[in-house]
Amino acid sequence: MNNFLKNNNNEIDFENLEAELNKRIDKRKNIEGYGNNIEDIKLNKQEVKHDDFLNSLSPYCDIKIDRNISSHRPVVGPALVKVRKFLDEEIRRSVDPVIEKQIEFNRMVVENFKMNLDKTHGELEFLRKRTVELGEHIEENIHQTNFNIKEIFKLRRKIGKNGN
Amino acid sequence: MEISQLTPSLSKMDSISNYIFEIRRLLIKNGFISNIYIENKEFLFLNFVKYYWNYKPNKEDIIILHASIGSKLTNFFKNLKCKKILIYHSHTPASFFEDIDEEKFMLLKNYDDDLRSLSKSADYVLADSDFNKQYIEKLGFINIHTSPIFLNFKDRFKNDDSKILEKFDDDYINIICVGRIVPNKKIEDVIKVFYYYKKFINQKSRLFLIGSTSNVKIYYKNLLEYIKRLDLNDIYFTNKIRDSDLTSYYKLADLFVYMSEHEGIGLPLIEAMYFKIPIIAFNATAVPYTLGNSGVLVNEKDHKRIAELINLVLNDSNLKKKILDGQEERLKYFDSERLQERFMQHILELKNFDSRVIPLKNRTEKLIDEAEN
Repeated sequence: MNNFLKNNNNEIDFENLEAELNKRIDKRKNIEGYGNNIEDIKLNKQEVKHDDFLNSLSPYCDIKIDRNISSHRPVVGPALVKVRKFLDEEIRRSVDPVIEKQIEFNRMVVENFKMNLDKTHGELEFLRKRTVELGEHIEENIHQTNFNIKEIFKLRRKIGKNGN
Repeated sequence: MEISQLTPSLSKMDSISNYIFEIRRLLIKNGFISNIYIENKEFLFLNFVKYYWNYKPNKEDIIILHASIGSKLTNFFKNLKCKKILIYHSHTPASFFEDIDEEKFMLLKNYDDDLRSLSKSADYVLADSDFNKQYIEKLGFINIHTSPIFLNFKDRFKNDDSKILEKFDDDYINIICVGRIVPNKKIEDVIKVFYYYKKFINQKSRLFLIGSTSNVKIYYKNLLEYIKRLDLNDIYFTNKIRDSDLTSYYKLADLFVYMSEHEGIGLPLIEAMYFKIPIIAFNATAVPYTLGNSGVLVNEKDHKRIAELINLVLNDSNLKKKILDGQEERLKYFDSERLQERFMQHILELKNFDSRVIPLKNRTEKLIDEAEN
């Protein structure tokens, strides 16, 4: 029973055809790279011009501070640096997970903001076009109504004349 | 008596536009006055193409609206006081554009509602495939007739371009895919199939991707980046081309691959049948309706297997012959003269029908009522 091909032609033995395909794929299995799955396409969105502000926010998502620990004291300096580095590492060990979470949160907020802005941009474009269309449609209707009114007046005049 | 057509736009190398011109030719041949009324300004240099607001019909005149995308014509059509035909050509589901092109997404998202609002305005409804018929039925239309597009391939493809033919006149295998470069056509799947075919089966091969690249530019850009990442060469995007160029590419083609996930009819499939090119297509939407018992339909996007299938079809002359025989038989269904006759029958039915007595679309209901009483 074959599933890959649709049996839409009685002249073709699809079961046999499918078996042949499998056989051929098996033969190529050992060719370098054949077994690897190829990557999927990355579909990017249409670029929106006004996301510069959000792009400029992106670097500020990362709130980690990397500072250099040093000392200008000639004798106790190296010892002080060692102690400070030790304390710094200890503090980082407990604080870093919180900071990582905050960075992740910041990134998500900016990404979400970008996504919604793109959507809003698309919707605005759509509404703008619809508004123009509706405006034109109203104009057409006004034109048609004016025409109808004139026709009614003409008819009334005709009826009036005939009545006389 | 005037039987005219309404369409948002006309453009060169567009199947619906070509169809509109064919319909006009047919109507004139049958003794009717026929103009084309449009929303955009293309083709206004032709004396029978006019802006839609110039259309002032008499009650007995017939107007044909070509429905495929939202436009101002929806309301204009609704308000016309003449006999009205709607031809539904299908529209791409908005989901294909979500997160890629928000503006198109919104335009298409609302088109179902636009169409639904026309279900009570049209006296007669034609769909150009059974798939489209089923779709429009779900939107509330009744009494729909399937009337496939008829095109004059003989005239359209009578000339070719020798420069193109000479340029690619070699022992390479030419795989072709025709259609606008838009997300629903799933061009990335065609590229994936070509990747396996070229890298592992036949290096002497090329892929022609023929169709407008300007509809969703970001998608085209993504495809170019994708090809670069896959380190693939011998892929040609032609963008919009003349009929003579298209004829040349069809003449060069050894096999037609179609991975589209949404088609209202899939006209390039019929063109490939006309040029006797074996077809391998993904079994989705209207594609199986168009192919019928011909071509080879794949149920899964298993790119490796499809690449092997290409190799098999090209090298097994017996299999290839069976596929081409099936396609030749299927092409008869799309015979232009037969479809033109059928189309004129629909026109005459509406022409001879007095819609003031009873709207045509309610006729079936009325007949059922009469039969029951």
